[in-house]
Amino acid sequence: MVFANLQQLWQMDGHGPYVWFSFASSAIVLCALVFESRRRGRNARALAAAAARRRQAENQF
Amino acid sequence: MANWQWFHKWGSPRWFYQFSGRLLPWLAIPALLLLVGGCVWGLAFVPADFKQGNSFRIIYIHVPAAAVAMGGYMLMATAAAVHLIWRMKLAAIVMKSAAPIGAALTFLALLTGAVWGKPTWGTWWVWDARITSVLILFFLYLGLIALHQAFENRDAAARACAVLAIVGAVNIPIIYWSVEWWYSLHQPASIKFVGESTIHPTMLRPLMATLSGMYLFFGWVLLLFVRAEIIEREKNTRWVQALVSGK
Amino acid sequence: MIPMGTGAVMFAVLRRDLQAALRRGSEWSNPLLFFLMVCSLFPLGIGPERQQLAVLAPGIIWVVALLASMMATDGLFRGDYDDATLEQLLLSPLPLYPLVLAKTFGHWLVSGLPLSLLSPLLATILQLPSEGLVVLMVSLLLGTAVLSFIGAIGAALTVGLRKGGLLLSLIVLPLYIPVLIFGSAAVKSAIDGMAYLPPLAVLAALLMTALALAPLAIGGALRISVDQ
Repeated sequence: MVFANLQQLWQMDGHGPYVWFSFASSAIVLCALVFESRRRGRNARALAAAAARRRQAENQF
Repeated sequence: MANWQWFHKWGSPRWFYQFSGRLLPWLAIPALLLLVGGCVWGLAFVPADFKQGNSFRIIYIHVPAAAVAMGGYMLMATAAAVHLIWRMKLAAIVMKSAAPIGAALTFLALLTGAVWGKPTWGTWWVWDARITSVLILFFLYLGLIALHQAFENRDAAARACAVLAIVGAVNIPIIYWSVEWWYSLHQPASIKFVGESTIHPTMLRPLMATLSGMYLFFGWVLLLFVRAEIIEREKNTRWVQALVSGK
Repeated sequence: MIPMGTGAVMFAVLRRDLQAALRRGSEWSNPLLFFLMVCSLFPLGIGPERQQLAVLAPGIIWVVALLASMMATDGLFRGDYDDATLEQLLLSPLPLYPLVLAKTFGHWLVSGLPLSLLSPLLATILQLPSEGLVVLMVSLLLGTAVLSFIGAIGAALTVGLRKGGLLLSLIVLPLYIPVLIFGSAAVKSAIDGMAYLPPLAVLAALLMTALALAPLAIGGALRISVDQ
């Protein structure tokens, strides 16, 4: 590691807030994308399940 | 003809769903490894830049985000062309799914670019050629998303957005070139965005890692979005219902 | 039914649009008034200081011309869409390309051309140095033509939508930017005594590209909007 200790890694000679904010917000955006895709998948599967139940109900008549 | 069979197979949502399911871990795992590994490498194991200090480390997120945002638009435009020419439903789904991901990455590129600017040049926003081009790309994405939402008919929405995506893609080189030209007219001699020529190879390697990781990440999330869309559109078909009940 | 050649149909479409525009005076006068009034807002906002206005004038005039052109484009196809003339045009056996060309040209005659002719007046009130006047008019003549084509793409995409106007602006503004860059640069170059022909040449090239490609997109977009 090019920094002497973790404290220096955090501070980065005064640039710490900028660097860590950037990486943190990137992590948030990327995770949000993944979660959103999962959410859409869940929604879609729920809709399909409802459609499947309706079809089963219709088939019984 | 055997030549075109693979093409039409790709166009089948069911086949694509099954195929992409197998592909997912091959995208997700390398993507996460490269992104996280590249970031750790760039944050802690590369010496600080002589002129910019530690703030240059933002490059390891900023450049991949901007590059993949641009690449994503081109992918979207290609899908748009495929949809318009061959009426392939899957292409429309890919186009629709790529838009929000690309927009999010463009936003990230702008955000990290602005944050980078503050310790480097003293202001939160610098109208240099690259950032200005990314901003215009952001507007192009937003216009596409807005147009899609304005249509009630999904097929009309897909075709209208396909036209707009292609028009946008044709314009992007023109826009990029004109912004470069504009910036060269007004650029004060001293301010220069960190040029590729001044990047030391040791600084470049983690960038290659995060850049590849971001491309893979885009592919992964795109497939996730596309798969969700396929399920939703095909929810009344037997294969989807079997898939959902079977799980 | 009298069979008409393509040229005759183009001329007929053009004449119909121009007659309609002359009857409804607001169609061509509103963008002009907008142009005049908004340009007048700038000194009120920035301050009347002559030097300052002179420096900003090329950019201001160009941006406002761009906005006026965008506003004028909104109604380009809407009238024909509402009274089903558009459907008729699309159903006709004639190719869409010349029809679209005629409509867009007619629109430019009624919006971009008057704007360009009015520009010396606005240049004067915004203290634009006299060296830039001719180039200003030429750049606007070329540029507003390109803007009409780009705007027509947006208008064709949004003609069937409610609240299409605002969406039109969102779609079209990023595409307008190269025209703005080269248009205002041409004027500034003329004022500074530098080469103004290169930016003008680029504007001409953009116009050629628009003439060649835009009607394809416009026609495709019209079909989509009318079919939905």
